[in-house]
Amino acid sequence: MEDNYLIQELVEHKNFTELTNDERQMVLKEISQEEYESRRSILQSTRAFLQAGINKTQPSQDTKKRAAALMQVKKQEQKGIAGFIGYRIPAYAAVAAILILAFMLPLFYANEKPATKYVAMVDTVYREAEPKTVYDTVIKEKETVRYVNVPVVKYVEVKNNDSQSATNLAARIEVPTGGIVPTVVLAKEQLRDQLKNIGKSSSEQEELNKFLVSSQ
Amino acid sequence: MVAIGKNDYRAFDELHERYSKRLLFFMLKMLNHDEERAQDLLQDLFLKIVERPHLFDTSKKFYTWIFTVAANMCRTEHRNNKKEISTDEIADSGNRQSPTDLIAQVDARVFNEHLGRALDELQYEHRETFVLRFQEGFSINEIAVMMNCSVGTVKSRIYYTTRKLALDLEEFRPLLKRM
Repeated sequence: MEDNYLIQELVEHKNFTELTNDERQMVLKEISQEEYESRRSILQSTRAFLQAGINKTQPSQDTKKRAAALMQVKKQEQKGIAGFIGYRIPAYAAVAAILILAFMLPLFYANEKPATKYVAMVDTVYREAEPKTVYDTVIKEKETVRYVNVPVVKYVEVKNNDSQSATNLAARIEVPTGGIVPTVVLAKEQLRDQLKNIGKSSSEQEELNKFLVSSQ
Repeated sequence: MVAIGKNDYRAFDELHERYSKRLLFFMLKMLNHDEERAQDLLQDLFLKIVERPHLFDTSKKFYTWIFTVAANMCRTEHRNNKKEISTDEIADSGNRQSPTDLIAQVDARVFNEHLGRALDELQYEHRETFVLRFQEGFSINEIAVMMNCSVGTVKSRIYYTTRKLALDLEEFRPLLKRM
C-alpha cells in the first residue's frame, strides 16, 4: 500500500518526465508510463473541474438576512442581561446600603427568644417482649364416677378342734385360738408364710390360690 | 469567530463571502446535486456559527473546522436520507454518448460532464475523501481527522479513486494529452 501511495503522490506532484531514475523504476514496476500520465491528467482536470464548479455556485442570500436578524435578537438579549448585571449606582449609595444592612441585622436577631430545648435523658429503652406460649395440647380433667368392689369383712367363729380336723386346706390354716378373728387378718403375708410349710405340691398350691381368691 | 461571538455582523459577512461558495459546492457534490438540500444545510451551518460561536476552538484552523462540520452534516443527511440516487440512475440521467462518438467531438465540456458523473458514481466516503483532497486541498492527516478514520484509509481511498477515475475516463486519454 505504501508503494501505491508513493506512486499516487508522484502522480499528484510530478510529470513522468520529471521523475528521477529511481522514481521512474518504482513507478514502472506498478504501472505503465501511459497509465501514469493518464492518472496525472485526470487529477489535474479534476482540480480544474472542481474549482470551476465552486465559482458557478450561488449561495442563498437569505442566510445573511437570517443571520443578521439572529444577531440582532442576541444583541437585545445580551443587552437585557448585561443591563441588569451592569447597573451602576454611586459609591456612597452602596456604602449606605451596606451600613443599613449591618445595623438592621442584629435588630432582627435581638427579638428572638431562645427556644425551649428538650433534651432526652434516655434515648431509647429496649424491652424484650415475652414470648407468647402456644399450647399444642390442652388436657382437661374430666370427673368420672367409678364403682369398685369393696371387700366385705365377715367374722367367723373358729374352733380349735375344727382347725385340726379340717380336711381341706383352708381348715388347716393356723389361726389364733380362742376368739373371733376377721378373715381379713388372714392376710396374704401370713398365708404365704404358712404356705411355705404347706402346699408344696402344685395341686395344693392351686387349691390354696383358689381359696385365697374366694376369701377376698 | 471571536467577533461573531460579539455579534459583529461584518465578521459574519466576511466568513460567508470566503467560504459559502466552497461549502455549497462541496455540499452539492456530497448530496448528489440536490440544490435545495445543500442550500438548507449551508444556511443551518452558518446560523449555527452565529448561535453557538463558542463551539469553535480558536486554537484550531477555522477552515478545517468549518469543513469538518459541513462534512458531518452531509454525512448525517446522507444517512438519514436513504433515497440515494443509484449509479444506474446517474448513468442514465444524461445523454451519455458512446466513446467513439465522443472522440470525434470531444471538448472540455463533454469531458467535464463525464468527469462530474464519474465523481458522482463514486462511493460516498471515496467521493468525500477525493473532494476534500482535490477541491479543498486538505492534507491526508487533516482528512483523516475530519473523517475520523486512519491515515492509511485516506491514502487507500485516494489511490483507488484516482485509479478508478482513470479507468472510467480511459476513452478521453487522447483529449487529455492535448489538454
